Parts: sequence; C-alpha cells; structure tokens
Amino acid sequence: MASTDDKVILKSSEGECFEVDMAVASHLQIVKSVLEDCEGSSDKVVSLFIVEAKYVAMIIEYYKNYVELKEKHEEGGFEEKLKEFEKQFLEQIDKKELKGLVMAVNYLNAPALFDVVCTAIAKHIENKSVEYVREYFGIVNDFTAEEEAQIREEHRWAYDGVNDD
Amino acid sequence: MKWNSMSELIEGLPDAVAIRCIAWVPFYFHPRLELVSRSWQAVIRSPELFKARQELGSAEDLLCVCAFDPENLWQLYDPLRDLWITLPVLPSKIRHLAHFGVVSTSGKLFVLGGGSDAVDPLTGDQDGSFATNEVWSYNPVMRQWSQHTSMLVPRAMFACCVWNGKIVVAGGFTSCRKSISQVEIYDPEKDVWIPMPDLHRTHNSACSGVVLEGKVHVLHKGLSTVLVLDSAGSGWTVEDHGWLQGPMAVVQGAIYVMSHGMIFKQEGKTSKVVVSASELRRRIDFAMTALGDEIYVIGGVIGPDRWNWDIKPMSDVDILTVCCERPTWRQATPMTRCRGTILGCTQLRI
Repeated sequence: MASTDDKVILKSSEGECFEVDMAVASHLQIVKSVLEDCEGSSDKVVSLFIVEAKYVAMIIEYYKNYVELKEKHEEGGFEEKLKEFEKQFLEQIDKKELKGLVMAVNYLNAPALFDVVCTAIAKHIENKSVEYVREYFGIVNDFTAEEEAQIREEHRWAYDGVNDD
Repeated sequence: MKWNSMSELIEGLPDAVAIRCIAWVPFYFHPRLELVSRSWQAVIRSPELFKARQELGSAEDLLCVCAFDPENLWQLYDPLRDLWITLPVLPSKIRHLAHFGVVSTSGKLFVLGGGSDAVDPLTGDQDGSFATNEVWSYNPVMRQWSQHTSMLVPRAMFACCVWNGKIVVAGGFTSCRKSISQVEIYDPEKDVWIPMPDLHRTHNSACSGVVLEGKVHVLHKGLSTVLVLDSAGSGWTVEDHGWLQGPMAVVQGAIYVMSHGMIFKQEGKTSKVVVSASELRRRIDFAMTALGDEIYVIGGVIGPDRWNWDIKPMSDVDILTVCCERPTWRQATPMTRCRGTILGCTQLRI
C-alpha cells in the first residue's frame, strides 16, 4: 500500500482539500512542478487558486481511473478501456460545466484530459444553432444584419440546404 | 482582419484553448460557426486553425470532384457525414475546362493545364483552347480560388501527381495536338516551375500519374509499360508490371483496377479478382479513386446501347470497402450539383 509520503493534498479555490495519490497528481504538470520546486519540504499541499472544488473532483476522478486502467491493462487494451471510461465520464458532466472544466484542465496543464474535454466541447456545439453557440460561450453577435445575410447567402450556395440553421 | 486583435473567442478562455476546441469541429460545420461573431469568422478562416487540426489529428480527408456539368464547378465530399459541399466556380476564362491535371498538396486543391473543346452555341466556333498552362488553386481556409505561376509548357491529358509535397507534371499533349515528353515540377512554397528530365519516349495516348512506394509512375493508355522516375528525380526507367488496363485506384499502397466488369487487385504480376462490378458495367467516363480504405466510383454516363440511344449523365457514387474479408458495395449520397463525365477527382486533406 502507498504510504502517506505518496500522497499530496490539492486545495481548491474555496479551500476544500483533496488527498490524492502522487501517481494520480503527477499527471497534473502544475502539481508536479510545484512539488519539485519545494522538494524536501514535508508540507505537501498544493493550492489550486483558481480551480473550484467540483472541477478538482472531476479531474481527480479522471486521472484516478486513468492510472488504474493503465495498471490493469498493461498488456494491452488500455486505449479501448480508457475510451469507454471517457464516454461515461463525459456523460455525467453537465454541458454547462465543460467550459469551466477546460479552463481548469488548461490551468493544471493536464494534456490527456485537455484533449478529451476539447473534443467534448466541439461535439456539443456541432449541429447547434448559431444563437445557441453564442449563448453557450457568452459571445455577443457583432455582425450587422446585412453582413449576416451576406454570409448566409454564400453558405446557401456551398451547402444547398444541408447546413441550414 | 486578425482574430487575435479582437475580442476573445470564448469568454474567459485563452484564445489558444478556444482554437484547440474549435479545431475538433468538422469542416462542414465551419460556415455555421463563422456566423457566431467577427472574431469567430476570422478564426474559422485562419491558417492557425488548420495548423491546429493537423497537430491534433483532427484533419479530414475530403474528395474533390469536377464533372462535365455544370462547367468549371467543383464539389467536395465529406465521407463521415455523407454530404456534398459546392465550391465557388473556378474563375478560369476557359469554358468547360477539361483534360486538366488535379492534385492536392499543402492543404490546397490544384487544377493545372487542360483545355476545352467547348463550342460557341451561337456561332458554332470552337471557343476553347486545346491546352493551357494555367495553374489554379482552391484554398479551403480562405474559400477562394487563386492563380499561380503557369507551367512552362501548356498541356492537356498529362500525368500529374504529388511527389515529396511538390507537383510533378509529365507528358500529355500541347496546343498543337502533339504529344510531348517534357516533365516539370512545381514547388507550392516558392510558386516556381523547374524542368525535370524528359520522358524518353512519348506515346500517342493520354497518360496518368500515380505515386507508388514513393516513386512517380507514368502510365499511358493502351500501353502495359510504365515509366518510373527514380527516387532522386534524375531520370526515367521503363518497367513492365503487366498491370491490367482500366480505371485504377491505389488503396493504402495496393493497386486496384476495374476491368471486364470486375475489380482486380494487382499483386506483383498477378491480378486477383476482388469482387464483381457488373452493376457498373453500363457506366462509362466515371472516376475511380481511393479515399481511406475504400474505392469510390463516381458519376459518369450511361452510354447508349442497342435498346436505348439516350445518354444519361449520372451523379451516383458507389463505394467499395476493400479492407475487410468480404468486399461490399454501398451507395453514398449522389453529388448534389455535378453530373456526367468526371473531368477530375482527387483527395484533399484539411
């Protein structure tokens, strides 16, 4: 069993603490570099100043499974099992939280999960209306009505109805 | 206008992160995203986005097709969504451009040379030229056509392929309807044409080019011998592989040929039957090409026969999956605009 030496405490923006195995936390580049900076110090607490607790929990859940699956399927099949898990993982996340999650993952510098969340965001906006995409991301439409009509006309030629809004 | 000089793409997210998200959205959906705001329009039309797609592995392979009708019109096929996208009309002054070379490299579609046998419907005059040296490219990022440095020699019905990212054109016919042996190579980065060693013989038939194991192969219609450019590009050798004559497609390095209503696979000098193509037997002037691990048979016309004198232009697309044990045919959505004889067809990775 892992000793307490192999644990690290991650502190969310609200001050909530999460005790995590080093094997899991080391996937977060930011945690790794903070710990390297204060090597030798007995105090293994890393403050993730801008990351809310709900996102810390999601990220830990992802990497916990990632590490477990990797260990269990050392002989092969890891990629498929991970894909299966990622599907489940994304299903339980509220679509509104994807944006917050990608910000958190970007801040923590966790490459594997970063691509997973980016893909999920892309999938979520595909086939949605322009208005939905604007609202989802908090974007203000700065086109004039004429400009918008002109772009739509150009698209009508290119897509012949398949991509009508 | 540069997107990074404007408001952020997604509120609260660094633009670099937003681009990584947008890069996973398929190309066919880009027009919708372009309507979101000015900064989204700018990023959708930015080389940065397409660079990110290459890096992330979210680039897509599309098929580009041009048919006899409507003139100078190209369509793109998205195989994952089974849909067709229409490009703006190629702005060449030559009506009904045909017999051109077509390839894609550096993320662009290139249409080279060719000519026209268009006839003015009012005067009956031939208003086309037999062969031009014009070079056009379509940039899917900017969504526009532009003209490039012309080839050194005007040519039509020539071999054309991409070799180490550059375009090699060989043989064909010049404006005087004479077959030519000249070969030249185009560097898309520098926009220049440079002569290459001549083919050491010409043949009075159209030729086509294909790259196999990194080498340019030039095939003449009706000839079993193949001219092969050595890997240094310093000369041609003649080889006879005994390949079947007929429409050819290269699927992951393997050659497939349609002949006598069958699809054959060339394995060395032997030809192995893969599957029947008898359903397509009455179809002529179609294109046969590869996309992913599938063979596409596109467009063409149903020729006149004993019972029926009509010529029927087609928009149909038939796909053969050859990777699996039992190759099977299926149909894709027909082309939405293009129909009839296929004048050009190639893959485009964006």
